[in-house]
Amino acid sequence: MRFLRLGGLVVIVLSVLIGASQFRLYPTEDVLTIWVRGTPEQTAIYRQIIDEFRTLNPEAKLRVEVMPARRFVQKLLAGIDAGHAPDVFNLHWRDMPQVSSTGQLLPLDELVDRHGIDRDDYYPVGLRAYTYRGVLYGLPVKGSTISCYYNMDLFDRYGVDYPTDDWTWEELVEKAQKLTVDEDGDGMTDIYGLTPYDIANYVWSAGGDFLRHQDGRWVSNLDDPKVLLGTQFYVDLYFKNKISPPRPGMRSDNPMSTFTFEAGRVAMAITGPWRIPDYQLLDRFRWNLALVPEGPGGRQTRYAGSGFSIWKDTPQPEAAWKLVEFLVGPESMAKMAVLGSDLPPQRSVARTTFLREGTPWDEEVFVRAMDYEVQIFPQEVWWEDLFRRMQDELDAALAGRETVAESLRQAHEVTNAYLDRIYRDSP
Amino acid sequence: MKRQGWAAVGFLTPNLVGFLIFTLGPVVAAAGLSFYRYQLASGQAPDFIGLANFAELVGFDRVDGEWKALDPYFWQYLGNTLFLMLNIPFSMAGALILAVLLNKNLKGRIVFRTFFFIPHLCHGVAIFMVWKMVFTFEPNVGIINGLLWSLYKFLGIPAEQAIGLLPGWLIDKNWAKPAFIIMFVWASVGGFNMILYLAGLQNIPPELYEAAEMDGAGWWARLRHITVPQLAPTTFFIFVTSIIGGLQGGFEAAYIMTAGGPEGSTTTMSYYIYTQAYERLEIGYAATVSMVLFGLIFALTMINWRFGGKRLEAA
Repeated sequence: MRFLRLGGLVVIVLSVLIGASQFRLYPTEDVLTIWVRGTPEQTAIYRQIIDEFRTLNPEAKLRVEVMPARRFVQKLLAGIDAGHAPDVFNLHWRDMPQVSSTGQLLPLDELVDRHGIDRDDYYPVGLRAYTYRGVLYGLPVKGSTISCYYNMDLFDRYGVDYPTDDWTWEELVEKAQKLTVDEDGDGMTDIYGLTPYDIANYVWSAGGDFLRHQDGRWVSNLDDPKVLLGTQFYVDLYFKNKISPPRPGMRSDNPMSTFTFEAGRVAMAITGPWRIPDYQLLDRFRWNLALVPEGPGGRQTRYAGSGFSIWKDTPQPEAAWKLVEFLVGPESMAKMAVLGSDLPPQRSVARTTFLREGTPWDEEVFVRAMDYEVQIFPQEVWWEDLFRRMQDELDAALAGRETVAESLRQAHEVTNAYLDRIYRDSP
Repeated sequence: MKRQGWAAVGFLTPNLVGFLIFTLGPVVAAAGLSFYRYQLASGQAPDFIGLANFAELVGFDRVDGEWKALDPYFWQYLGNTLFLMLNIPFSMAGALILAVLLNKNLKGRIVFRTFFFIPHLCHGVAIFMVWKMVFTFEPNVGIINGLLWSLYKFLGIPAEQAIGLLPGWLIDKNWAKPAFIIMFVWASVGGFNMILYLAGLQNIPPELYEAAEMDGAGWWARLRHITVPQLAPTTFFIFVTSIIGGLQGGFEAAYIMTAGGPEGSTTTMSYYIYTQAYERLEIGYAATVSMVLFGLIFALTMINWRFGGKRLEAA
């Protein structure tokens, strides 16, 4: 018994000593801390890039921390608030308004110009996504838009022509209808024609938008007939045409079941290049890529990307910039592009490095897609919250309980009430 | 005795320090922050606004002769939270029945106990993903609608009509909450509540049953007049903790299964706190929602103690 007690005591003392020896004040002045996020493959590449930077700059003391994507922004903002933020960090484009609105990011315009970075070589939307109130706060390391994956075997089996570059919404519906099939004739759909991604692309491709600027502030644009056109088209995919598998509301676009492209039960899936690492493993059917179809307002898609920013209060702004310049430089972008999931944000690099030799599918589609109208959401800290409420109102139409016009009218009212409150609280 | 006293202090201190720093500290801070307008990481000091956050959250305004909530979402989400708590009576009744059955000398009851407890050991995310598929609308994938589909077919209902009779689990706002309740009951019926009831059952003196049997009491009479009253303290404990858990819960399931939809019908109070704090960064307002939730839990628990607790003491 005594022996046990003594042993226990020794273990506790040792644990405390080991713990104390690992304790570091965070961050130390001369160590540059970098937070990265992404899939294990992506973070491995970040580590590799940072190792190369270390070799080229032996004097630099760096600490890399891989952070889970789900709580990334919470951790970052809490760190900033407490005065202990990483010096350099990854930022997803949709998190930009939240983080840049805090005024805690280092403005990069002057640094970019001083170091001769060619802004014109970037896809404009990539830089726009990292600009807040006219100031550049980040540089993208990857950025892409959505395209249409299609299952060639299903197209062949049901005698449907592959999509072409100039295909339209009407053709999308027509093909999806032919590819929505009850294979065993039991009255249940076994294959769906399309998973359409979220509503934004359809509102934009109809020529509409969710908000508009009026008298120096945002107001709802949901009363625009073009928004009705786009929303109606989107809702009809589910409710009238029944060519897309049902899902829990506008906001939740994850597959609910095994009706997925990868399971071979959806003929066309509109989504981004980030699915390539998964889809390239598929060996049960052949697939290819097409541009998204044109709507009445043209071909308008949405951006997705990730970049790097610097904390305003970093003790070493020059060293942090040097690292960011390296992280988003052409060589780093090219390394990222090898995964196939990420399009480099600079035209010259995208054209030369993204396209991998020997892939049977037309990856160039993702590069060409960037030359069409690629949009971003309003860069306001309240946007995600407002967009959620707008979509909640539209759910009634998606479930077929209200007409699209009715639910848009309600969403319009909710949006304007929401914005009135925002501008009343902080004019 | 003295030595034992010191040992107790030694064992209790780490927990107490942890509680003070990581629980009580944040609770007190949240209470304070609810009186401030404070946006996270904005670089601006919190601005004292008194009860303005509370007025905004629970207040009403007269617009065009009609009373309108200043924050209608709060009331909607509070309603959702309370509605989802309907799982509690079902879970408790189920747990009691299971415990009574598993307390009998059944063959292989250890195996059954393990099976019923398994959902409690599974990670929530895995459970939610599986249930998302169970609730899939299409009957050739969703298990529940699949069974209903077979039933409709058996009854000779044509396919076009049968499709219209299938519940829109998770895709219709009227069905999303019942779907969650079914899932919560499944997940909690064999969990700790059942274990607590089992422990409670084993504390009931067998003489009571023997005496009742001699008096000719049947299975139902024994359950009603001996088991249920004898388990009252356990039932009370489970009820109080379930109410507290119910008011705080629902975030993970909604986050994973429905993103709070459709039409916000599965967004609960905890989900609202999350979005206010970490999407809108309105820490002051999020703290206010937390405080109102705290007040609600406190009031309900007090009511429980006052009525339930007193009755127990009397018994």
